[in-house]
Amino acid sequence: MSSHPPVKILMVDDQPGKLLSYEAILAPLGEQLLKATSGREALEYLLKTDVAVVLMDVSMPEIDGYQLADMIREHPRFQKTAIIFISAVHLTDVDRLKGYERGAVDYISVPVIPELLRAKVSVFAELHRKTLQLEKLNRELEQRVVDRTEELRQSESQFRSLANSIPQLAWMADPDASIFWYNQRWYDYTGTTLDQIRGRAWRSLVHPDHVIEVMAGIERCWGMDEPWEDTFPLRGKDGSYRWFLSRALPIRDANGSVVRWFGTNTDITERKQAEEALVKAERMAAMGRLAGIIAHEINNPLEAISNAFYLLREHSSLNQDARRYAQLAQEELARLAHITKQTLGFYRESKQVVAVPLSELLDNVLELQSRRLKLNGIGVEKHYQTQGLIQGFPLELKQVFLNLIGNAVQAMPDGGRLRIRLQECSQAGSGKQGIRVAISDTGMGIRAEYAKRIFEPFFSTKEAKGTGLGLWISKGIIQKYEGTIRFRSVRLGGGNVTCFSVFIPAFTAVQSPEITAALMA
Amino acid sequence: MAELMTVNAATILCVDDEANQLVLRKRLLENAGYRVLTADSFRSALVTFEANAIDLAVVDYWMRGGNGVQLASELKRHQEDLPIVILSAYSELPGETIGIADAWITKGGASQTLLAKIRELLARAVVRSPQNVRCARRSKPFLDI
Repeated sequence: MSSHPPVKILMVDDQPGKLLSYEAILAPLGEQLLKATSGREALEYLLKTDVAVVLMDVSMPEIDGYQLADMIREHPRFQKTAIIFISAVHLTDVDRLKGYERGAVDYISVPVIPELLRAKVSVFAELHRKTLQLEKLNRELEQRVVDRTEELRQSESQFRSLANSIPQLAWMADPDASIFWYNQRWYDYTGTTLDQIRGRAWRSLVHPDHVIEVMAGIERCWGMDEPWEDTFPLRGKDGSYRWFLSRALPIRDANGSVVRWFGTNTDITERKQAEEALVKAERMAAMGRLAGIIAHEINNPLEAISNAFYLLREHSSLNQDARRYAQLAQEELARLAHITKQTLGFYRESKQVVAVPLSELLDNVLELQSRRLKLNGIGVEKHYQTQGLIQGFPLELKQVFLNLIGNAVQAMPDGGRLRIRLQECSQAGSGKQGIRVAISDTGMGIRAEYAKRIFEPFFSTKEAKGTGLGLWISKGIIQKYEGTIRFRSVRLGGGNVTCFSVFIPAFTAVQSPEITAALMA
Repeated sequence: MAELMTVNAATILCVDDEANQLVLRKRLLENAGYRVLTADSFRSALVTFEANAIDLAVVDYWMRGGNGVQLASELKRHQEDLPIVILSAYSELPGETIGIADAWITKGGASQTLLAKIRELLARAVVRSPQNVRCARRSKPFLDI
């Protein structure tokens, strides 16, 4: 017993002698014994201190045992306090009943048998001690629950702020693959609410061409509790699709069963576009090499045939008719040579700067576009006020104007007017002398909201047709020449006029082209 | 054609490793009044060049045993004023030809293009050195190749 903290035992009797004898009997228990000689004194103790057992005489002056028990029980704190009545009178069954009605716990009749009293008190004292321990344990548990709840709340809030700060879209799903949480980026990108995309409803955001395959893949992985990975386009709030690499990992509990899934979607659109551009560039380079070989194989015999017909036509033995045939053959050969040059004309760029007459270069580009100009019913106005001689690399300059004129032509599918102005001028600000080329079209115009983005890489308004690299490359090339490229698009009358203006200084220390000949094609 | 064989007919060295092309080009130039020597390889071109006084060379870019640019620079090393036309079946010539050949012509075009270019280059050479002094200039010894 001594190892346990002692509890308090309150002994109430109007006779001090009896109290002394109870004290003697109970002392070996090692508990703390309190003595009260009246009901009033007993109540004072009870209010001041925590009492385990009240041992009281039933018959006392002023307040008897039953009245005291009533008063004790009225107080909510003492409803469970053990009370042992000691009755000097003969205990009838009625008395017992009366006692129990008041919530009494036990009786001892006189003469008191010390062992019995000790045993009964000891049981209640122990019970009280156990109750106290239990309450303490309970309080500690409650505190731990509070603490853990706070920790969880903090870690949840840390998790959420982490999940909201990562560049990926992120989400969590139940073990049955039903998504119940998305990070803020999900909502920002898709413009949806949790209710719209809860569970499996997010499938409505997957591109229709991919949705069946994606859902089949995810069900297969989640059915087997295996990590999931897939790449597919997701629709943004503006209705356009971007490519995402999507992954999900099962989170398991200590027993290894999946409690939730954690998933991310990483935007790989630009990486994909860059890869595609690279593949395209490689394909163009391969085509360039192939075209070079074919051109070589065609031009060699073409040269021999041309010379043969020339000699034939000049031959003195030929009559007028035969000479006419030779001439026709020569004309057709000239056509063949021209086509070969146009279609297989993949240039190799020179390593040195050369004088480039922009007027010739522009004419060359117009000739390349001539079929489309005619097809779209576009009228061309040329205002060349100069030959436009600058120092540079013809191929990359041609790339720039091929882009600008090509865009203008594409902007006028139903006809219009293409105007090209070439003039000498000095650059505003720097005062540098140079050439200005202005290319205007009367096409569909450029929407104001696109104005800031048209020179960005991978920005295209041509949907699947454009790589989104044309203007970006053009700007890079012109900047290399320390020139500028600007545009204006205005509504005029019933239509639009869009003008791209390129200024190139006449003399710059321009570096060799970094952009491969293949990309230029 | 005899009337075209003028006294001062220039001598042209024609180099190509394709026999048909070489024969036709020779006739084309001969018909235009020039004296034509032919070579079908890099090596035989140098041998012919060493043994004859040459006024102009027409060299194919792509030949077995060394390309036309290498041959042109070799010829220029020995006779720096020698006008050289390089022919190429590629759509355009690589950058290293710039500054070596006096003209380059893409094959497959009209025969007149070559004739016009040769006429132009020879006229320029005559203005530069009216007293045909080409042999005197040949001072540097040949390398053993």
